[in-house]
Amino acid sequence: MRLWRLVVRRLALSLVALAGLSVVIFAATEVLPGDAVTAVVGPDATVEQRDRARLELGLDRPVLDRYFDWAGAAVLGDLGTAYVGGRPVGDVIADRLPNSVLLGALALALAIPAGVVVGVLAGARPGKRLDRFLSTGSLLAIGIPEFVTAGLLLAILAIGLDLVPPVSLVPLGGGPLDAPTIVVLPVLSLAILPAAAAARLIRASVADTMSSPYVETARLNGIRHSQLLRRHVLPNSLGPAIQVLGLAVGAIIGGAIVVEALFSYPGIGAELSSAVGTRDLPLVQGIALVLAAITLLSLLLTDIAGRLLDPRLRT
Amino acid sequence: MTRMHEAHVAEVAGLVVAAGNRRVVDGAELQVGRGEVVALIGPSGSGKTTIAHSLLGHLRPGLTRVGGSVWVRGEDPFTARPHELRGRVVAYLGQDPGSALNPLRRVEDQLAEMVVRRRRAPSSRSDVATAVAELADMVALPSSGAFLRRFPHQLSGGQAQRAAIALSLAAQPDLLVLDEPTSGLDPLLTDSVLATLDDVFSSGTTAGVVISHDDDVARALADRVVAMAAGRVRAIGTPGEVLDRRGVQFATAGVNPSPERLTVRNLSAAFGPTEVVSDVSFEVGAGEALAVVGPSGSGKTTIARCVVGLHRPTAGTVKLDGVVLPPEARRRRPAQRRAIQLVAQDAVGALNPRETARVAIERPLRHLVGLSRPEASMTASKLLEQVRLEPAVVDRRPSTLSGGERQRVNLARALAARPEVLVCDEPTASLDPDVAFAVIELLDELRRDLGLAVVLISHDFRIVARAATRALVLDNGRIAEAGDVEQLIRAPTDRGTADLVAASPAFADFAQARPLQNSGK
Amino acid sequence: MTAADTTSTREAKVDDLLLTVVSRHRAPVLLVITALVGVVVVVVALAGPFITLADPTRTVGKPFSSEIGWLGTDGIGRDVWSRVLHGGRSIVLVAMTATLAATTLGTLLGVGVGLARRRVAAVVTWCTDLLVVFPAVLLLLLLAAGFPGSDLAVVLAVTLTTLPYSVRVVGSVTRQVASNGYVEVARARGDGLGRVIRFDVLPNVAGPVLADAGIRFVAAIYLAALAGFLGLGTGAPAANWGRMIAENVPGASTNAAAFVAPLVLVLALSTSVNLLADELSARVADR
Repeated sequence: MRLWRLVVRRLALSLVALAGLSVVIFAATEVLPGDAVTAVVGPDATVEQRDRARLELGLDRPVLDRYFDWAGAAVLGDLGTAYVGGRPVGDVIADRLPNSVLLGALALALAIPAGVVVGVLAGARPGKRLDRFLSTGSLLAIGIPEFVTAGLLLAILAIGLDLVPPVSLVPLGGGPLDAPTIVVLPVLSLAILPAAAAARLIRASVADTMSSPYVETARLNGIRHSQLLRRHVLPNSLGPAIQVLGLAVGAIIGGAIVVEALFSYPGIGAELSSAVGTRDLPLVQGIALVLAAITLLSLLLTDIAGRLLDPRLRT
Repeated sequence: MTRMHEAHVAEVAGLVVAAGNRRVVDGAELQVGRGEVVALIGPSGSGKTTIAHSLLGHLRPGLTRVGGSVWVRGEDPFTARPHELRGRVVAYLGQDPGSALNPLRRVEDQLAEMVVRRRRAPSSRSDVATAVAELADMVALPSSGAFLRRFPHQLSGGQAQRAAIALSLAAQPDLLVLDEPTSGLDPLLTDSVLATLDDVFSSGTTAGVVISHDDDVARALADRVVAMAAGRVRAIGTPGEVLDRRGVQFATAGVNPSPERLTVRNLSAAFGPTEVVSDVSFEVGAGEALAVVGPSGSGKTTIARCVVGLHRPTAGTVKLDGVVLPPEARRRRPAQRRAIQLVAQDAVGALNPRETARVAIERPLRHLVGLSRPEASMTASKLLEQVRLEPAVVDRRPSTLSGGERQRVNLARALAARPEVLVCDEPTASLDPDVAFAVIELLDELRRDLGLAVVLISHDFRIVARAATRALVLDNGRIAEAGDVEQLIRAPTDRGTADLVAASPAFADFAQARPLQNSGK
Repeated sequence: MTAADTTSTREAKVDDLLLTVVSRHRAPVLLVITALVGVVVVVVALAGPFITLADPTRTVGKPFSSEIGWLGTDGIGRDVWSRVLHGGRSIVLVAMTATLAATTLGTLLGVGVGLARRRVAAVVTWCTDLLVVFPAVLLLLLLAAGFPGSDLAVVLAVTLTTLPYSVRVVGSVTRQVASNGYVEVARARGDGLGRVIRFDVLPNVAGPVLADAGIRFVAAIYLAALAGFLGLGTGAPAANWGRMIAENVPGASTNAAAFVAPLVLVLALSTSVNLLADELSARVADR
């Protein structure tokens, strides 16, 4: 019963958050004095052409009206029409999102186990040489931009060793899995940062549990190290650490924008950066909104999962 | 390996433990006979924890054993296999015993995990269950399956402490090492833990080593006391021989108690929807000290915060010299704020870590009293002298001062504002007993010399007796009992008061105080 | 007696120190090397344009040739060496300006939030948490898209992206400081808000603010380089390490230097800054 109340409460809070983020997205793209008209009519258009386009796009109307029109339509599932190409934004997203989800899921499937293993190894004996080595490594990995990691992998795996193609060209009429080698570089480049972030969080959580009074007591009462880890440390530290999932999804969404652009992978991130380039506002707004929703959803799910694992919060 | 050491369960001889060049333990001796309980007492840093840990073959990182021998049941714990030794020969329980329970596992699973480690481990599942139920019985917990299947958070505070004691005894150790078992607990929980431990030890099957900085713990449990100072044994003997025999001393009223300075009428206060103070009234005259006594959570700190204007009451008034004060400090006139000063609970947190003692004292002198810089500097020196701080201390930051020195700086800073009312919120809570009494004596003296009206918040009747003449006892935010301190101690009419009095074994001679064993919840 | 209880605290303090010694502090050699690398890269970035007189936007030869100049040419035959020397300045300047702005604003707002009433603080915290959740790259893209071709927009975007973290950190440190006895005593005694902030709050949050500024600088370098890579900020012909990596990927097999040189520089910059910032936080925490 209490769990359901919690789920409903969190869901409501997430919706409020999404509404808040929609304001941020809209404000960032609309209020700043960019020039969306140029994107539609081109830089060489006459003043009349520009005015007509401005009118057609409804850009002469007050900002608040436009926000509520946009947000209202978005609630009903209509994200508007892209300026470039004239396709409904929803269709473009439906086209590209599955490719990105595939990429993200593979990266997550790689990053989380790696992060857990590294984090537990480091945290199990805090301050020891292995911990210092792994902690420094994960610290460094977190500060390196994805495009640099991606560039290094590209230089080594694609150009140096010629193991995988440097550009992710999807065969005509097929999906990324029809040419599995093209996902290798994007997935690897995407997985490193969330893996490092997960490792650091789990390391901190495990080390914290290691110094808790009940682990100290169990150790001084002769419980073996392996049993200590299995029965006392891991259950208590992986519960809080489940939020790495939410963190990782956020990192992967950010990374996907960069990595997909670098490898020309046909995903939603590459679409977003090209939409920013052409100032295709409805497309930018639509994609940003969907990504924000995915981020919030993953946070919501990890939050609930974390509570399910803890008897103090479950009952 | 069993040899001549068999006569004692544990024996430490000439132990030297060093941290770098410094000797943390310098030639310590300790013998624990079968079923005997030895208390290791001494101020913080005296090496008592290190000795106790050595019985488990454990030293904190950075410490090394330089010399001497340690034997437990004829074995050297440093060479024994930890899994064989710990838990079944020597068991350990640390500060705040309840925190020794793993929050994610059921009580019975935790007990069973230790039960199967017994030297003669029960073989069948039902034997384990029986052993677990017996353990629960031993520490006066319900032994029903439904209760034992609870998670730690579903236990009351006292039950959790007792479950943890059962856990440490589950593998039937010969020796139980207790490290500050009551530190950080309020008096009633302390009482319940001590009563359970006393029960356990009185059966005589388990010997104990109890580390404490609190004489009361040693008095309640120990057959023998080993007093440590600076890594060496200072004294060994029965509790009566070694422990401080400072008698209970009652405070005397000021020379001429004058009319009410501070008057509190029908005060109620809440945190959110929860009312923590209900309808409390009292008054304090100049040169008089009133104690507000109660267990933690009884609302006493909130009363102090209302008086100084840090907490907005939901009802009631605070009057100074007959004038009603605005509820919030920032709405009070400067003279009103100056007149009431707070000496806060946490001696460490109460001083700005970036300010030297002198700067801390000069601030109120300059900004509140309006002295010039040289005047403030001179007055600060006088105040520091008044609270008996050495001149060398004045230019040091709080982190390099001892607890007693910090609390003296606190007092001097409050006095700098030239107050009429001093509100002291547990001024000795974090101090070792000797230092605590020195501070409380200073407070008593200042009250009489300066004619201060003092409100003393405390949970400890021994402190209260030394510094206050009247007291009110709180129970869940209400006044349970009020009156003359000596009267309250000698003949408490309220059960809560009796419990608080009984929590200080110093009052054991007082006829009305109830014996320890009956007071566990 | 006073002398005796001083000694015992001093002993207790040594025990504390012993416990912390094992936990932290990297080898000094590693730190010195890291600091040197960091200084060299920053100097190259800032002073690079003065080292070479060559125009980084002029075509000097065939595209992606490894024969010309120290590092060959890029996709439209420009000299990579002079582009490398010109391409770091905007990243470092953008990161520095944004860090300064975010730290200043973050301290002001954070101290305000930390001292504000519980409910106000809760609302602000919820808002900053919301922005923290939002992927930084996405926010950067959205904000910088508003002013195409302007480095100022990138500064603004990086500032706004890292600001919520600053507010959150300073806010929580301030709240911690404000809950201390000395702040309460000062308030009860009648010290005004200004005096409490000046004497009690600021000196005690200064350390964490400094440590946070280090971490913000790491994030700012990351975002500034990323902005270059994504083609935000000052437009196409100008050199930028981030963008050079993107531009020179296609020619990586013919002139690897054009692609590897900026890559190594960004890597060295972000890594050294990251290690130094971590050391800074460790020292502040130990203090």
